[in-house]
Amino acid sequence: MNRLRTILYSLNDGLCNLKHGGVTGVVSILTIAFSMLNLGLFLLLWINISPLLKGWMEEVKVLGYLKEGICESRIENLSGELAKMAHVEKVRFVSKSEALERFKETLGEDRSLLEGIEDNPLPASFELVMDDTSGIDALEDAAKRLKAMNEFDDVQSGREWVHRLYAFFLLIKIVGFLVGGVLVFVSIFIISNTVRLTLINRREEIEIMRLVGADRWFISVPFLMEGIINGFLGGAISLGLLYLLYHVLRCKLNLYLLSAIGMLRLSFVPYSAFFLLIVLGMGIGGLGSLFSLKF
Amino acid sequence: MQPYFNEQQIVQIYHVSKRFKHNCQALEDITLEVEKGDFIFITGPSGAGKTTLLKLLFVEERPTSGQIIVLGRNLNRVRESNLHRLRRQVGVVFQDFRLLKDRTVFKNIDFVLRLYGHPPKVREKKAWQILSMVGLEKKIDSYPLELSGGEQQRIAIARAIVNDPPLILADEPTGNLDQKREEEIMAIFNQINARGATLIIATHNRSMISRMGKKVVSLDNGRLVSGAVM
Ligand SMILES: Nc1ncnc2c1ncn2[C@@H]1O[C@H](COP(=O)(O)OP(=O)(O)O)[C@@H](O)[C@H]1O
Ligand SMILES: [Mg+2]
Repeated sequence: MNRLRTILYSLNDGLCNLKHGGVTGVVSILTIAFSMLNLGLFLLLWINISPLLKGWMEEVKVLGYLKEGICESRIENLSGELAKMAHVEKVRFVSKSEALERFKETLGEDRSLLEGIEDNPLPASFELVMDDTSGIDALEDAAKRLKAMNEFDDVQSGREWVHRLYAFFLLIKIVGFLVGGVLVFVSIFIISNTVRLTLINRREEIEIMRLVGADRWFISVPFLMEGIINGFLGGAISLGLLYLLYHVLRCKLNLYLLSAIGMLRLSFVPYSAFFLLIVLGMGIGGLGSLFSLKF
Repeated sequence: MQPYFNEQQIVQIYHVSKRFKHNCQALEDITLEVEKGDFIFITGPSGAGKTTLLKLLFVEERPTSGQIIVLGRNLNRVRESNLHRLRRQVGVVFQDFRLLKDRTVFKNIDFVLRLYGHPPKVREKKAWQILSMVGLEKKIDSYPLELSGGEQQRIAIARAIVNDPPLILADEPTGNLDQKREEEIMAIFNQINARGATLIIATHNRSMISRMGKKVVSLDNGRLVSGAVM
């Protein structure tokens, strides 16, 4: 009961102290906001890219775009021939109109852009879905054979750019973790130094409290509360900044660029991430205070 | 010989010596007993060891040798984590005041009231009462550094006595006060003493001591010179 009262009192005190907290308080809040923003950006990137990667990795395809004016019977023949090729699991024919439908779907709300267009500019195509055992050689082999047929205008084997992109994202991931790791260390360094500064300012205060009869709990709770409140504010600020960044990105990023890499829309971090950022911020703030209290 | 605890004695000091680093012998073989309800002055020239002796009693310092019993507790055996229980029963007026600089006068008093778990209404009332007793009720919302030395000293006194502790230790409590304030504070101390509290006051102010006519213990160079009543 008494402990609860101490906590409530300290919470109130902590809120009042924000006004007095001064530079060290602001530095703590901003440091926490910065590291949480960093984490948030990671999450944002991850949430938007990982489904893409997954999709790409699942669909290893060879695409053959047909020339204009190939008759239906030839298309049926082709379909049979292609299906007999090694490692081809499935052959799918995409007609001109289907291609247009798909494109419209991709555009979503922006499909009205296509309304003015009368001729369908998209070619019909064959999609060869390769089986799981097909290596990059089988893929290239299939692509070569398609190229050799004169019904095809252009042939793309997904593997090449999937591989290249995969390597690219691996690079992003590594760089991201490195930068993130460095930033986390920098944040911890800044926080521990701020806390140390605070502690030097407060060592005398803590000593006085002990001499007039305050126990550990009584002394710790207000500092803990202050740290937790700072952490909460830091986390909230990081969320705000993250949303702002997300908003700017969504407005500035070229929609066609996005749909070209298969990203239909940019999504924000889920609510559970709000929770994560704020709770983690509170944790860092509280721990920072606790570390400073090793008196 | 192991000292035994005597109900009558609130402070028992047996053969206590205190040596600081650099071989500075602050106290040497002090033996002293203080009875419940006593009002005692500890006097002596500056550097005699008065402050050190008081510090031993609320365990800001620990003796190099000897035994101290305060309020029935052998201080050598009280663990650091249990010191707060002792300190809540000992009101200390520090020579250098030791107020919390970033809190108002009210919060400074409120802090020690909260240690006793009083509800807010009671704390407010007690804080106001004690501050008007030392004539500082108008400064309740000031910060310590906005006050004069004498005013800070009176806040320190108010903080030491607000919880009615059975033992009060005061280190030069009137060092920054003029004669009129000094007499007011001494009147308050007398009143508290009359209600049963024990007071040990360190001072080099001989004229105040002679005016009060209480027990006097004299220190010189870390040694007890006399325990006579003046
Ligand atoms: N923390 C300390 N470290 C080293 N020497 C100290 C310390 N505190 C006090 N002393 C020395 O102990 C002696 C007694 O000091 P003190 O008790 O403050 O005397 P008084 O209060 O009677 O003026 C002095 O010589 C002082 O220099
Ligand atoms: Mg002194």
